[in-house]
Amino acid sequence: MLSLFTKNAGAPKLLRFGTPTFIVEPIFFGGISTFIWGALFGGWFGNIVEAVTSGTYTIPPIWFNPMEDPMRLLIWSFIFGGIHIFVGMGLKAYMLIRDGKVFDAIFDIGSWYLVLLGLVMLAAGGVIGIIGKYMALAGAITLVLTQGRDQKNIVKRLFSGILSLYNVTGFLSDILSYSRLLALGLATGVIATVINTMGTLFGLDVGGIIIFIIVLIIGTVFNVLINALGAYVHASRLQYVEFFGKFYEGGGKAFEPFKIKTKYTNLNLEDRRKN
Amino acid sequence: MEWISSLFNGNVLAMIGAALAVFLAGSGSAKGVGLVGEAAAGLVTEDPGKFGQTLLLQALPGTQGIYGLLTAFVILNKIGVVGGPMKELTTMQGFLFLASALPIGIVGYFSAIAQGRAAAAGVGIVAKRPEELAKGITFAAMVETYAVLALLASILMVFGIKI
Repeated sequence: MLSLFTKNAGAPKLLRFGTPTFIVEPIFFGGISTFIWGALFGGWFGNIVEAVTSGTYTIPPIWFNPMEDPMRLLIWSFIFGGIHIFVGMGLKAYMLIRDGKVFDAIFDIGSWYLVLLGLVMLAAGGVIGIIGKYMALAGAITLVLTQGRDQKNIVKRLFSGILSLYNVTGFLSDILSYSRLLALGLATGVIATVINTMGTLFGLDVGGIIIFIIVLIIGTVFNVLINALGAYVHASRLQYVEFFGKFYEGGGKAFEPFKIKTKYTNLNLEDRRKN
Repeated sequence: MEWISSLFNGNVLAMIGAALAVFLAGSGSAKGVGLVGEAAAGLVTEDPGKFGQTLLLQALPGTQGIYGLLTAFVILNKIGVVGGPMKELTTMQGFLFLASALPIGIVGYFSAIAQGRAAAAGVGIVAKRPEELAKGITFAAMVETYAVLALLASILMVFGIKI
């Protein structure tokens, strides 16, 4: 939300302190992305134009202002989250099909697609809602019938099938986890607004403008740093936990080449003399 | 008993709410950041080159304090303390502001300490395997989730109060 000219150019140098490239690079590209989203939400250094002109001029947002309508952005956060998770599930299906397990892909992923899409459509209501209801039902029945297919015993098979429906809570918490997109976006915008308000407290005569510029520079650098950290941490979590959890199977050991480590060399003079 | 009636004055209650958000979340963050600092100092004695990486871990539990300050600012801004005369609030509105400060205050306090412990353990990862820093950050970030959710609840609650 904050205009991130500063983040674009500054982050790689400011945050470096021996920080590895894998942290600096995402933050750099995150700055470009933040700039675009700031334009969409009408946040240029928070509300700087409004603050300086004491409300006479505002830059209207291209899309909408989340400060006035947070629930709208909350819904959009969930939609982005849903797409992210569906892509993850699609990758899992791709991996299963690649391994020749086409039925596993249909039963494990396809039926969940039906259930989740059906539930979303059910919430929409109307004719779509009725179609959604039957989609969700069809998916749920497929899940109950197929999720226990590893079990030999019929009763156990049905029971683990029914139990698998409980996983819907997992999807719910995954989607809800994306509400952090709204929280962090609001946090950035509110901090920027606070900085602007503090800066304009001393009026806008010559002295006031000098104070304003100092407050703005210090505050914005602080805002960029703290939110770059937040963006890094929370994006990592969404990728590693919500997205990777859908398809990634970790484990294994890193390859260590069979070689001599020549960072330090001990000269053993005793041995040399003998030869 | 003037002090009792002033205790239930809407403005006083809203101010107490803002104060609670800063004081609880801030104390938690201070504790968490301090905890990681203790662990990191030990590592830096052995290997000063790891200062940057451990500093990153140390900053993680600091966010709760900022969230608390943020909530306080949103409350103060809404009741008009920042830049202008304070609005007159009813007792009901005061209690609403007080309630909206509680999520970030209480969750912030406990999550900052828990996150500090996770990040301090992450310092151990940096000590032995500096290339796995991202995993240490992720462990601490798992705790951060609940602080962000509390911040979201607090901010939505403040935004929802009609004055």
